[in-house]
Amino acid sequence: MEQFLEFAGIGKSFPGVRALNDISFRVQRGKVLALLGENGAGKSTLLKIMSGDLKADEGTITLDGKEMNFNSPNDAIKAGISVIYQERQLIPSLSVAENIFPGELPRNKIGLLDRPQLKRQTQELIDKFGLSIDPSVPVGSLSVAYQQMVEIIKAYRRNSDVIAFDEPTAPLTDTEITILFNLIRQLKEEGKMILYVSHRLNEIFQVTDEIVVLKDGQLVATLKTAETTEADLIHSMVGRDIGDTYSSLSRNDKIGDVLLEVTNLATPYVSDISFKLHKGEIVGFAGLVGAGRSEVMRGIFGADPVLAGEVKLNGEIVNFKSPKDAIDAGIALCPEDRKEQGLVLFSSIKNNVSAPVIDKLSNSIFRNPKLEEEIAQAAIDKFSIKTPNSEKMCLELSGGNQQKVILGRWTSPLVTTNILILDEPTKGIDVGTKQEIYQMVCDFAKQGMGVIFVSSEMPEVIGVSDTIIVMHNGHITGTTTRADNPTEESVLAMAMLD
Amino acid sequence: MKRNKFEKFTQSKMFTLLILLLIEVVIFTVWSWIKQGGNSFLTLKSLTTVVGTMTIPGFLALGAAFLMISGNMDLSAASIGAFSGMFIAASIQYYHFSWWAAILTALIISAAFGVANAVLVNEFHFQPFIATMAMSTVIRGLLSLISMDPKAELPIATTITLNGKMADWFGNHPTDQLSFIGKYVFFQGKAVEIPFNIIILILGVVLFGIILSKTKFGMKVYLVGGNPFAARLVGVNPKKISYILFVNSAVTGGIAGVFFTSKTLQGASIALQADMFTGLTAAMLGGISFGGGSGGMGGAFVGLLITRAFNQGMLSINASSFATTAFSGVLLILALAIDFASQRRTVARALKGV
Repeated sequence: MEQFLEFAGIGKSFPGVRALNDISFRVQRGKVLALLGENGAGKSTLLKIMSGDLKADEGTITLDGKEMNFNSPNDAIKAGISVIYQERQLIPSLSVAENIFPGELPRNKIGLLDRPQLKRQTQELIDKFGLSIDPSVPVGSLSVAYQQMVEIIKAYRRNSDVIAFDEPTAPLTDTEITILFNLIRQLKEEGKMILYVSHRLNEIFQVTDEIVVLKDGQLVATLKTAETTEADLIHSMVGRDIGDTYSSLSRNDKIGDVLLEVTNLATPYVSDISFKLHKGEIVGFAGLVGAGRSEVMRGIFGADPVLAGEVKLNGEIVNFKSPKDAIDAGIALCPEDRKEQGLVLFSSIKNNVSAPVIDKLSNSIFRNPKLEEEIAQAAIDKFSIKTPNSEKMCLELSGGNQQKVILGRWTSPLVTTNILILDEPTKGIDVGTKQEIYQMVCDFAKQGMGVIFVSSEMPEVIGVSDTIIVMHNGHITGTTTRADNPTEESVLAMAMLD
Repeated sequence: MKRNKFEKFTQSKMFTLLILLLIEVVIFTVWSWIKQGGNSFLTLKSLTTVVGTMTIPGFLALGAAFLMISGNMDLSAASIGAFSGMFIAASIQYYHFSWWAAILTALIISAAFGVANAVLVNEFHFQPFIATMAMSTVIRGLLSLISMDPKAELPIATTITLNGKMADWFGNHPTDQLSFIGKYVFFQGKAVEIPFNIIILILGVVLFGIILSKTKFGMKVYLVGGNPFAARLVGVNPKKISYILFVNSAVTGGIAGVFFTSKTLQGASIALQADMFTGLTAAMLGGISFGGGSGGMGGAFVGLLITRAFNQGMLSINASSFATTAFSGVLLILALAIDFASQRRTVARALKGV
């Protein structure tokens, strides 16, 4: 009998995006396989297909020669596939034991919960892994690391043959990581098939046997860990031409005085952030998801509390208590999540465009529908937003057009935007519109704005920005300028290596 | 162009509501005809009753609607109203307040309750539903404290009745003046009476409607209700809006209490108990979504008509009070179902469009 988990020709499309294309590889029993790739390479989609969250458009998954066909995550669990996500899937108020045996709690003769038995069984499992966890304490009282262990024991208890880890070490300390790796090695010895998704290269070399590299939904390399180097890996993750997309942009070549100066800024999420933004300059923020870039922007914008450091605007120290203060000072933020933070989706284009200038619409307490319509129409014309009129709900627009509504909002005649912060402006947007947005960003700089361009897509940060700041784990880990001819390799190295 | 406007109207929520009201009227007219052997529903008398009983739930609906559009909720407004009514009765009866001083103080205390609600929700981050439900219970409890007669042997009263004699006793006839608010007939023709309180309610609906649809503040209320995170990032202060609207809801509740006491000349600890439910049903029927961000005052007003006409209709067919209560619940479920379905339709249409 065949003894492996096999992905054969997996393909998956979302509207406008090919997320996975013809992915085929095998995970052998007793081996740990790393899934590596940049943000958006398709790792999460693949995990979701494996765990029954999503259905593949093409291809099959076979486990020990049997074809798997999942309609729900429950089917996958029954078939012996467990995925341990970054967000814990435990019930914090229940005890460790109850979390490990959900729905299958041992019962005594009269049908009530057999607590001693439950405790004994749980203790046996915990001992097996040499951990010190009290089975009767609520899971919520454990540290993040121990919660993760509980989750692993839970997967083990279900006799899962396949256990996948999605960025398991992100919240862990070094000692905790060592414990986790010991656990993984133990599972490996028992002949489990393990998938390990991580951005951290050194971990991949410590714990995995094989590496599959994904890029833009394609499988680009299947490598034996023992036979590769970090440089090889980074090269295969990138290995793409930045190309003409960016060389054809018409850029601003007159960079002016310092507009914004941030010194040692700290918020609850990031610390020690220092950088300068000049008039007409595009400063790019590169890094991986969770590096803290959006949090820096929120701190500057007055949306998160500033704990330390200072922000100078045109040479003067400013202290924004709320986004309103920042807007009044000429700063605009297009947030990373258009739908959650950017737009009022169930409201019209008109309302969304005129939202930041409500108070400037008239001198009385009343609105000014005529002016609102004018502003909205101007934005529609300027950014060629595809809509029959300004009354259309933003929910009904495509991602690209939604982004244009937000851009229109901050460039309307009544707002003075000196600094424009764009957080992931091209996320989920088709290639053609992306190109349009890049040119718009350059045009904003030409008009004298200072633009901050945050993106997880390395090529676009490199291709669009004049200065690139790289972040990792809430800190700035490197700065480079276009004059340095940065490559994806050099930027990625700053963003991944501690 | 004109045709276009008409078509737009036929597709609006308001049109659906008016049709719903019409169907209701037809059903009850026919039903009461069959049951009583003659029309006992579509009469001037029941119209006066419907209109006359609209003010109290109406004011509660006004405050609730504003809060709901901003994505919030207040279940304590009726209790605040009962408190305000009791306070007016007690302050006139025991402490010789003049009627206007009593009303003014009652409304100021109501506003303070609104601030308390806003603090619980904004500073302590309690769910508005739970926070205001708890406040509601606290306020109902406090009612008996203020009903205490300092001179009586059994100080706690469940009701304080203001009557003419007592008013004479205090001089100045304060209760007579108070009763004007409740009973004064603004227009008295041969068969029609338009009570003063309904005029106030209609003025309230118009005023609130204008605030919501025509002012900058109204636009901010919609933005906050639609997406508080996005609203904050475009410079709106959702907290400020929330404070204003909680105070507003408490004050409209207080006004409902003024109408209760001036109409019945009583402060009662059980006052306004069913009216919160009616007010909320009316607002929801009127298209004010639980999730916030949509709906308007006109809809809420028609929603109110529907709920009141429903009660009157149940009376006219001699339905038992149990049935009336049960079917009021059904009406609320219907309102929620309409809200849910229309949201799903919007989303489905949007997804198809992309």
